[in-house]
Amino acid sequence: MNRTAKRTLQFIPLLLVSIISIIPFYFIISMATHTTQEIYRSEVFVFGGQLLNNLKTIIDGGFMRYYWNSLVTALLSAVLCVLISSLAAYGLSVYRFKARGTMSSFIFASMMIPSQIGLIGYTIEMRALHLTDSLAPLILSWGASAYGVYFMMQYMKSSIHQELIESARIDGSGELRTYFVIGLPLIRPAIGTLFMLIFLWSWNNFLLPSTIINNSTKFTVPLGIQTLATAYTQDWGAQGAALAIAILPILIIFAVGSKYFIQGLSAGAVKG
Amino acid sequence: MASLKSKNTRLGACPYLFTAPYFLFYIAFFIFPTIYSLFISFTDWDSLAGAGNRQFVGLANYIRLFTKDKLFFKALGNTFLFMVIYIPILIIGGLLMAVMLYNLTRGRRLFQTINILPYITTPVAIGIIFSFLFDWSTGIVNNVLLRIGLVDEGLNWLGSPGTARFVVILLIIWKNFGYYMLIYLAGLATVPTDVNEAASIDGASGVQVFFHITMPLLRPITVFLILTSIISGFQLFDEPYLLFSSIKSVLGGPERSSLTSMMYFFDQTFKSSTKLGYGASVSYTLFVFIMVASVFISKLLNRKED
Repeated sequence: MNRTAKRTLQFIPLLLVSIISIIPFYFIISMATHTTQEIYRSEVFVFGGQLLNNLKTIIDGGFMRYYWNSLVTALLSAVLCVLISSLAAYGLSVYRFKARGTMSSFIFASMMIPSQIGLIGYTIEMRALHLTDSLAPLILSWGASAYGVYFMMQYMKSSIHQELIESARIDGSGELRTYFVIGLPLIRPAIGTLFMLIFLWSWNNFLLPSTIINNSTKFTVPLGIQTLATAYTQDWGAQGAALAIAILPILIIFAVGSKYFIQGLSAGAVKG
Repeated sequence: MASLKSKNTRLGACPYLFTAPYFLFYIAFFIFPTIYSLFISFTDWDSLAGAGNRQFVGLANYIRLFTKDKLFFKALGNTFLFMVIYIPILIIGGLLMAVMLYNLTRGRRLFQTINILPYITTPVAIGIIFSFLFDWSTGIVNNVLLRIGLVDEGLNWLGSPGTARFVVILLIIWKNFGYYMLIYLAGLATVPTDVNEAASIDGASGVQVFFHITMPLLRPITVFLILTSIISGFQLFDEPYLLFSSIKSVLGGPERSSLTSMMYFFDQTFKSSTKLGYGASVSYTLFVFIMVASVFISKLLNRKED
């Protein structure tokens, strides 16, 4: 078998798998453009002209509210996680101090513990703090992300050099200032990657909001989708539209930063 | 001299100040709720009755879980069954695809991007998408099967236990395939090419190089993927939970064939009952299972290496 034939032979399975990967997305978008009757008549293989009507149905149903809640939650979660993780990782990377080893291994070990174990305790804690039916509980937990610290430490290992920090100190820069002026710019790619990852995870989160949020004015998108799926069982076009716009922000973020995103997803496996 | 000393003490406090916010959050929102949940697991507490109703019952919840709760073990069994089937498929399939992709000179990034889309899509949405695709009367899968004449009448995919499980497994594979491929691809990039070249010059075939050089070098990646799959496998919840929501079946699909351990935990604690104490004992038992499985698997995989 010659080289070109071999190449083509490898190309076919890749193409097939890729088609399977995107077919469900095609049908979701197509559903969003049809009425339920058209979907029942199996016209969903080609696009229809009902997109605006379907969008109107879900907007009238209050979906924009969920959208706003999710956006606020995901943005604040990502900011909180990046800030706190980078501070902690900086402290653990730049300084040599007694408790350093213990702290680091503590953080690594706790990455193995699924956060769901503490879910009941967390729910009751939030109830005691009078934070149920607010977005705060969905954000606060990201300040305690062991993965965030681990990820930042991995990156700082190769990008922050002691000499730079040292020379800033000699120039009379305070420690916190050095972190902001020297440290953060050096880890800019890692900040971008972690920000995107946390935004994604926060946006997609379903289990925690469904235990904490009961008031529909505080629903996030996944809760909104679930409600739609039961409230509009007969309106498949509207459901399709809801699903399509629910995953849209993630696809946009991914399209903008796919390079960092892919690096971020694979960082843990290759370095760890 | 005195000023130098004071500067050093100031620096000495710095690492603690930098890590303090994290540890404050960590203690308040991770350690505390986790330990509190353990405490709750030793109590009988129906949350609707308020904290006054809380009673210490020792190990009673755990004893009931292990001796009387058939449904918990059914859920655990389902979860194991899913993992035993999809993990090997994902490992082998992901590795094969990564190798093919690695050999490509052009379009690597495009394939990578397309195939990671299912992995980043909101899981709740995936559950609903699959319930559309596999719907009995209007689903696209049945429609295609009927058109090409593979079946005479549409299959009730989500209505019978065997096919419902099949759909769940298919969903997990669809969702994670691109991720496995991505991780293996990143791993392949770290395999030094000169080793492969040296082996080829010595007369080793492509297949030999793959099995005797590439695969052993990728072992840490495989171990990582298997371990993280087991941990996330026990957490499987969103997709199967939403998959059956439209057909109004019992929790976990027909005959509870797709009830996962996480779904059972959630339902016991927050939905069909609000038994916080019992729910906490379910979550801690699951945690012990995850830990035991991870340690066992990592021992097994590392022993083989020698």
